[in-house]
Amino acid sequence: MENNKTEETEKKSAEIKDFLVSVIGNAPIGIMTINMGEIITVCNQSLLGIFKKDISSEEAINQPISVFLEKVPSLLKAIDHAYLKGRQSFNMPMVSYEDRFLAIRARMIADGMLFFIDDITDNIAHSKEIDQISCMKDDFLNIAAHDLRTPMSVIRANTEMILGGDYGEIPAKFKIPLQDIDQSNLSLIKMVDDYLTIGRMEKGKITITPQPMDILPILNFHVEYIKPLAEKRGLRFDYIIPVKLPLVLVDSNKIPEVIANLLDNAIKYTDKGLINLKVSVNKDSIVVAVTDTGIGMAEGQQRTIFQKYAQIDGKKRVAHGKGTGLGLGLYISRLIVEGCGGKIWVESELDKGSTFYFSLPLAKTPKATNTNTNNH
Amino acid sequence: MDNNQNVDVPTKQSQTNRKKIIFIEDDEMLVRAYQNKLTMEGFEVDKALDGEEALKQLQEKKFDLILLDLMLPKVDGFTVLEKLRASSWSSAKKPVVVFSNLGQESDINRAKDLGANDYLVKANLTPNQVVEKIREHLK
Repeated sequence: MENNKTEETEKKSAEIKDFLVSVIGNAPIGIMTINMGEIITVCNQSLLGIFKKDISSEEAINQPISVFLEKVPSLLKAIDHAYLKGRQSFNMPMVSYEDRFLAIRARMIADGMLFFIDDITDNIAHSKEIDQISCMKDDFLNIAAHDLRTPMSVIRANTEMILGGDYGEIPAKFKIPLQDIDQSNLSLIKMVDDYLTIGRMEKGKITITPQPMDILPILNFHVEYIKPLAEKRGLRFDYIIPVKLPLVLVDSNKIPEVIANLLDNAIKYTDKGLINLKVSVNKDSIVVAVTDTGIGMAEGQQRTIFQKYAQIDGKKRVAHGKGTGLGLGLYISRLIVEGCGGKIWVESELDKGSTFYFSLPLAKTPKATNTNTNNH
Repeated sequence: MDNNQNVDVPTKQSQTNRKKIIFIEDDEMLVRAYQNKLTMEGFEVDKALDGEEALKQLQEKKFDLILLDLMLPKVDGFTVLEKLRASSWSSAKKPVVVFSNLGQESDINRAKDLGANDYLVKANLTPNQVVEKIREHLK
């Protein structure tokens, strides 16, 4: 009985050993172990391939690591360091070895260290190529966007001169087609502008410099601007703006674009009902809210709408006759508002409408600033 | 000179006190549109289709205002502006309105540092707005 059991156990452990040897031997990643004396105890075929060793695993075993890896001094150094610190695990994400790049992970084991070594040269080449292509793509799109502006200015100048009567009175039936040409061209100009703006913002070529400012004149300007547009679309336009507003921190060159953007969107995506602009003052910010009774958004979309190239669901847009736009407006608005230290968000219900909000931080009262300055 | 494609247009000012503008721009269609517009508004307009030609004309003739594109063949607009301001030509101190599609802050600042009086982005203005700006600088 006893003997049988021992035999069985031995047979089983021999099976396990064969299994492990086979797994390690065939693993598509270099595996190696060393003992406390820095002598190789396990070494698989992949590892020999990585270091271009024309020997068998058996021949590699018992070699001192300092001989086996003499061409990879940075790894030897890391191993020495790890042993000094009590066999600390370490990762070396990119080690150069001859014309290759290796990723090395070292883990401590009972009587030495275990290494996983991978040849990542091809991955690196691949990701470099992707980076290059991506840069070329950006450059190309920037040049293309820029070059589009010249023909668009020619279309604009001529159309607007004809429409303005510079070449004499135009027959009534030409008026609407010419207005359509002008409007479509203006949409193109806006798209290209947005595209170029984003590129510059992302490259840090446009900086946002918030300064204390009264935004009441800007709000009033946009109210006057949006009134006739809403009327033209048969929409009611209401607004609630306090007669006096505290100073807020904004970039006066950029914030009008955010207000214009939200109002334009509200008009664009609303067929009937009303647009409402409401400004409220909180403890440390003012909040601007633009509400519409338009097409609205599902919850999933509300989360992504402020991302680059985000848009209202494609089918819905087409059904709505809004096939144009790059989906950059709200992304730009977000960059501007956040750059001023504020927040932008949306509440919406599909087919019911949306409210877009943004907050702007109140500027410190001039009094407080003066006190600080006087202390100098 | 191939000015025949321009239409005959009534002008709003008498021949005697017409202000003279040079439009330095390489896109011939844009030149044609604005030459027409500015002529209708009562200005006398000469054109230069590249930077070299512009420098030659600026050296030879007197202008009341320079409308200047920046991306130009042969010599770019920045250089034209720099040379004009450093020159002793009769238009050396006249207003320069940059009329470009380069809208980057760095380009705008560079042009202003070199002595441009205004910076207009072509695609972003109506012809009437451009005329208005030009009038402001001729006051």
